[in-house]
Amino acid sequence: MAKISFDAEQVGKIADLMEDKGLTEVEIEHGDYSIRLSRGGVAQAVALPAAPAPVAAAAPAAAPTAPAAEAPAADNANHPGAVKSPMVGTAYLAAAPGKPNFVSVGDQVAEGQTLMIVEAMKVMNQIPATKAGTVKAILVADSEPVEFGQPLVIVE
Amino acid sequence: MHNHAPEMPAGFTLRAFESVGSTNDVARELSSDPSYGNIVVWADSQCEGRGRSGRVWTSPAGNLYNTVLIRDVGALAQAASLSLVAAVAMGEAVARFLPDSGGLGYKWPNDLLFDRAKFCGILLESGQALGNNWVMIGSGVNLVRHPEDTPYPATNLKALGADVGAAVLLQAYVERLDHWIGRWRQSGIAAVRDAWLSRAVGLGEKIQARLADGQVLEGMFRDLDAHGVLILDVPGKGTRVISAGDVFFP
Repeated sequence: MAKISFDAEQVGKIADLMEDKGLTEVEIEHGDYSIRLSRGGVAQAVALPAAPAPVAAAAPAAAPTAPAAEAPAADNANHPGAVKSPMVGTAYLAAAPGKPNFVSVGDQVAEGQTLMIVEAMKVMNQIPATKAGTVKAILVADSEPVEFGQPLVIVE
Repeated sequence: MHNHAPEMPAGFTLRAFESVGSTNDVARELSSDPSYGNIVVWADSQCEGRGRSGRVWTSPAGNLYNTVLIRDVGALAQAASLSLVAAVAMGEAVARFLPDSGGLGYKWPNDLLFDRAKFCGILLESGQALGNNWVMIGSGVNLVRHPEDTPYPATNLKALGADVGAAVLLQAYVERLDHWIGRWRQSGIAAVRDAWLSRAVGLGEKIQARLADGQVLEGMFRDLDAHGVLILDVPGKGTRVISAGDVFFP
């Protein structure tokens, strides 16, 4: 790279590169500028005045892909039927390895029915359906890390 | 059955059984009964005792198997730190009966070890009943025997010189749990973090963490973050925070 400027677009490209290559941390220095992006939880964004705000926004942007999503990821968070993760953790679609999944796309579910488990520090949190309906999409894969507030399932 | 019923702190109701599937399952059934506050389920043996990822927890008579269900724990993101609270409460209870508690340690987040051999496992679950979130803390303590076929070293308290019965240890544990949960309700994980770290096994050393997807990360166990999540410095990969995984000592 001959010249680096840390605008939102550049940071976005770096975040995409990190996602593609499975990198958790990238540090780039150029002249008076240096930038460090990390993903996977502790977002340590260190940037000189050039562009602090986009850096902070870029780390969470490396979001997991949605295997069974019907709508773009940006829309799922605002979807009225979105069931969101109440904590940072790891998602499990079944009670234990080898057991059948709690629900599949197309299933009818009752309010309170367990949709998946999110584990945080050996606390197994059963994630209940917040209303009765049909499972329209399951937005995370088994054993995938999830963030606080991340949409997990769409129930309509 | 049990000759000497343990005394419970105010607000806790004890239900004792000779044999159950798992004490967690019994506590879950009782959770929707409004006549109970916090519930302690104690069994002499379990036929379906389990640990993380559905692993079997062998539960012959003679050891301690129990679940403590705590009501009204608030937001689940913060309730995860009860995992550390449980380890500290059990650690303090056990320490009363060990001739020398110097070898007692916690493996993140809540296994209890003595000289790196495991004698207690704790698994928590959360749920909702009566309009509030609850967390139940299931624990198994090897009092007089331990399995020989585990992929990690195991031991039992009798072998360590602690001759304590299940009823006596359960009473001491619930008393410490009540104490620490009271502090946790006031100031969150900060209340218990230092106590946990003071007996952390592998802190500052090279450890391995196996994640749910099978990936194994090796690095230096640097610290716990503000939520109790494990911070691992992985050479060449930077800092990783681990909210769920199995820790090993290479």
